[in-house]
Parts: sequence; structure tokens; C-alpha cells
Amino acid sequence: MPVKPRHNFKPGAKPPIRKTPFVVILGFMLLGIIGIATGEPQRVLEQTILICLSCIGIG
Amino acid sequence: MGALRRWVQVLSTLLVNGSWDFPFTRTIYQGPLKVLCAPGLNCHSCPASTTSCPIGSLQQLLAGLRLSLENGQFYFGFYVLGFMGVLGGIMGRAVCGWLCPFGLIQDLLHRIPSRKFAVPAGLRYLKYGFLVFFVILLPLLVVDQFGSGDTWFCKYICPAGTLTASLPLLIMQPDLRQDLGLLFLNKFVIMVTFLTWAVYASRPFCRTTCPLGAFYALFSRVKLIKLRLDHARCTNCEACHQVCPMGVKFNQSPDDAECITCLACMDKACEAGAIYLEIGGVPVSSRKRGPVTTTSNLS
Repeated sequence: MPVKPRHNFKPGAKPPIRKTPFVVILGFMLLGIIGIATGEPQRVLEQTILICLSCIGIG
Repeated sequence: MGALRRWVQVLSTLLVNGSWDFPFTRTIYQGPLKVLCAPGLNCHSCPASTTSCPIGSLQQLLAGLRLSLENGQFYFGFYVLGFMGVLGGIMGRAVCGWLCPFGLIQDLLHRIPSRKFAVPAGLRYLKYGFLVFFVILLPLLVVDQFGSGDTWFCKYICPAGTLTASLPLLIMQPDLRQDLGLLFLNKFVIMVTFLTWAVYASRPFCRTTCPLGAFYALFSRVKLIKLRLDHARCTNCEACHQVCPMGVKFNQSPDDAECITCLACMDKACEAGAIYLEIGGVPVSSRKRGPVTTTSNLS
């Protein structure tokens, strides 16, 4: 049974570059930059250099 | 390719756990590198950890959101989400297959000779529940009188935290042992269950419970680096089913959310050369055998 083509580009032509991954990456990069702008990395650092005993099941 | 993946896994594990003076300091690393998130599940309370766990950090930010808003600070977790999203957009669950330390531990345990069993397929959906409820909703919504929430997944579930943080700290700081109770017993039982299960089934934690894996799975269709199937070359021999550590039937679902891009199907199984790696639409791996296909058959 012949395989049904799943793309519209012509046989023999180069497959097109997928743009969606770049849009997604850019979107999350923007989100990360907003997080950095609000000072979240500093907060992450403050929280992660301390041992939260109850968070690891002790106490 | 399997050996390369193992080396990358080991290197990644050593990079995110690079603080080896803990036997002398008897505490965790407290340097500036912890501002960075680890790509995989790697508890930041592990004495050797030099980075923060994205799932742990996200829960801590969400658990403290009300308090931070009251103080005029907007810690919604965008920094951590952005980091996870960029990695997910590039690699998706290849992070689980190539970079996650707990994935490496499970892979090694599975090499112990024993009878092997499949993980029931329906359990794969559990991890999305853990992501939504234990990582996002419960830390955000269940708060104490001061408006502070709990890190539900870390506190009640995470076996990686028990193995790499709780146990080493209990060994190094004997005083902590007097604080052990039902909470630790619950986590210890969960850890032993998953470690034992990993001997008999491949990556049970990744497949059923890991919220980070669930997040990266959301990128299965849109990630930059992915395995593709050339339908024209596929003979439906189902050899790819036999080698997949995640139980993916690649010829039936090439965009399966469980695929960790370990490349076993492409490298070890597919004699027809129907499986190949592509980056952003551009094939990067050579196809081994089989007739030349037209690009219109790529999916």
C-alpha cells in the first residue's frame, strides 16, 4: 500500500525548517528573562543554599 | 551510541554534583552556582549538589508566592519555568535519557540480572497528576496561617531527595536522626519501592511519577531535536519495540511523549534505516540501509 505523504513540499526538495521549536524556545527564554528581571535567581539561591529538613522528609 | 550516552550521563551527574568536600564540611554546597538549575532531577539538598533542582525550586517559589506578593515581590517561578522550557524546547525528554542523574541510577539498577517486567501503560499518566497537584496546585493553595505553603512533591514523594539528600545528611549529621518519624518512613518506603522496581522494570520512576519528565514530555511534538520515522522505509518489523527502555512503539507513535531520545531504536534495532535524528527539520544522522526515499514521506 503506498504511503500517504504527510507534508506538502515537493518530492526531492529539502524538508522545511520547523519554526515551532524556535518560537517555543524564544517564548520560554522571554519568560526566564522576566523571572531574572524580578530578582528570582537571588531568591532561588537563598532557598537552595539552606537545607530544608522537612522538604527532604526529616523533621 | 549507548556507551556515549552512558558517558554523557556520568559527566552530567558529576557536573551537577561537583562539590566533593562534603565529608569534611558535613553540610551542603552553599556557593553561587546554586543559582543555576540542574537539567534533571537532582536534589539541591544533596551534599555534593552544585546546582538547584528545578522541581524543588519551583515548588519553593510557589509555596512562598503569597508571602512574596505581600512583600511586593513577584516570584511566580518564571525564571525556573523559563529554564525548564528552554531545555524542553531544545531536547524534550532527551534530558531524562542523557542528563538526569536519577535516570542514570535507574538505568544502572536495571542492568542487574533479573527477570524483567513491563510497566503498566496506564501508569504513565500519573506523572502529569504529580506535576499539576504536587508541584503546582498544592504548594500554591494549601498554606499555613502565615500564608506559606509546602513543597509537597519533595516532602512526601521524591525518592531522589531521600537517596541523595536525606540519607547522606543522616549519615553525616547523627543529631538529625532523633527527628525521624512517619514522614521519613513514608519517603524511605517510596525510595526502596522505586529502586527495587527499577531492577525489574526500566525507569519506573520516570515513566510513572517524575513531574520533571511530565513537563519535558509536553514538548514531544515541538522539541528541536527529535527522532523521526521514514514511513517509506519502515517495514513494521517492530524491532524498535523490543529495545525501547520507555516502552514506546516508535513505528506507531514517533512523537510519543515517553520517548527519551536514547537512540536505541535507531542505533540497535532498525535494520531498515527508517529512524533518524533531526534538528529543527534537518536530518543529521545517516540512514543505514533501505531504499532511497522521497522527502514527502518523512513524518
